[in-house]
Amino acid sequence: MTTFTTWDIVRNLLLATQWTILLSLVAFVGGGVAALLALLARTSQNRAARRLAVFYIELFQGTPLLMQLFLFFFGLSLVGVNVPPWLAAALALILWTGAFLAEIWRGCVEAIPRGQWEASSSLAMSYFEQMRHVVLPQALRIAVPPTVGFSVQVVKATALTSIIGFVELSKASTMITNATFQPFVVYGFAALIYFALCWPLSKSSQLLERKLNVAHRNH
Amino acid sequence: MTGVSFDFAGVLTGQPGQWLLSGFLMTIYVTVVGALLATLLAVLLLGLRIAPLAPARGLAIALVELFRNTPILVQFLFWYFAAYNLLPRSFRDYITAEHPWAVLPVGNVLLAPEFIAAAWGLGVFTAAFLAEELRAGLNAMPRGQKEAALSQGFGHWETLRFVLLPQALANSWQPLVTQYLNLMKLSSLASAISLAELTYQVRQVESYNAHAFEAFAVGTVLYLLLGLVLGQLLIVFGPKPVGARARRRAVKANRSATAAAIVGASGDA
Repeated sequence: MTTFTTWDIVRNLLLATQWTILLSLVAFVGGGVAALLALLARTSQNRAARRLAVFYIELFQGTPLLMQLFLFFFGLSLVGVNVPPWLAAALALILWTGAFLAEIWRGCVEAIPRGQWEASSSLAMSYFEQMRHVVLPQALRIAVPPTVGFSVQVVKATALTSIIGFVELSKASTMITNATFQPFVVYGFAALIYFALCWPLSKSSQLLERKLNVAHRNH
Repeated sequence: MTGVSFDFAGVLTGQPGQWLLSGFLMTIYVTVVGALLATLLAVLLLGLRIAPLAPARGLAIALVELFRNTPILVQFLFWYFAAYNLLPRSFRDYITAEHPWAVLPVGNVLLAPEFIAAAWGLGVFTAAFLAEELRAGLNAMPRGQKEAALSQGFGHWETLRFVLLPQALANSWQPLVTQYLNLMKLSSLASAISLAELTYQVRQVESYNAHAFEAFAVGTVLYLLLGLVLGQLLIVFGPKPVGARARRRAVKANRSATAAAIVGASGDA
């Protein structure tokens, strides 16, 4: 029987971590774009656009992410589209991230005093000009800490994609455990790697919040 | 492509119906046990976190950070595949032996390794979040409350027990409810350690008669329903904010916030 050293285990876990990081980045960037679109629709003058954005946000915030992954993975194959695990994982995570970021960012946009909107509209700015030149630059500062904080949840959420068979850190842990029969070492190191990814993000979110403390500056 | 037709009778009756019912009940059981455990552990963690002893505080911080910064799925896998086997042999034998009293309606067994690992995992993970919400509630308390209590001759423990904690609990109840509802939603991940709860049974139905869409739809509706009922119960029977102004604000906020709290809009996994 082959024996495995601890280094073998760690090395393979680290190789799989690349996929966790890549998927996190894809979900975060893609989710950011989705959130920006949802945010524009959610705060626009158009009633139908607002309704659609609310529906999207509540649908993806109100159901378990696991169900969303299943729907993309099994549901799309039901209508004849063959979806590989990585695509289903990326799509579900992007839409899930987008729904949460949209609401976080909406809170930041609404924290901008109404006077800013009124002043810019009295300068004859259009909705997009108001957003681009007046509201978003100010909202951005408030948005940084909670956005960084949410990125922790995105990294942790990528672990769920192991259930539909995407080989990232969690799936690799299970596979390595099945080969080495050392669950304690394997899952222990997997947890440590996740911690090493997430903890700096959590901490920097807290630090940024304290440093920028923009939400309470005007009080 | 022919139109897709739905057959909901195929998942709600017969064997699939039985499975879904048993899974739904199992989700309720593991949620209740996990929530009780989480509450107990959160109180312990909070006690450590605000203890006058620095090492106790350090331990609490380390535990909270560890559980909050790793995915609960990995924690489940750890408890079930690694930690459970470190328990004494005699205890594990007792768990796997047959216990007629631990068998619930529709054949769910409570004393099983999967159930224990799932309830424990949910409890520990959620406790870390609950303890932080409670601490935030305590920190939000005006200093005057503590000073007034101390000047009335209350000791440190009594101040905490009779003055600070009741107010902190009432003020942070809304986010606490969100955490309990998140626990319910996260129980779906226990299917990965083969706990036969709702998600597990939904997948079983899917592989039994390929009614994927119907099974997932029924599962989603059941989760949503459970969340609505649980959220309303917790809000109606939970502590109310102290003070007339806070109460008015809470009533106003309730209309929009209940909806958010009920669906458990916390993305933590």
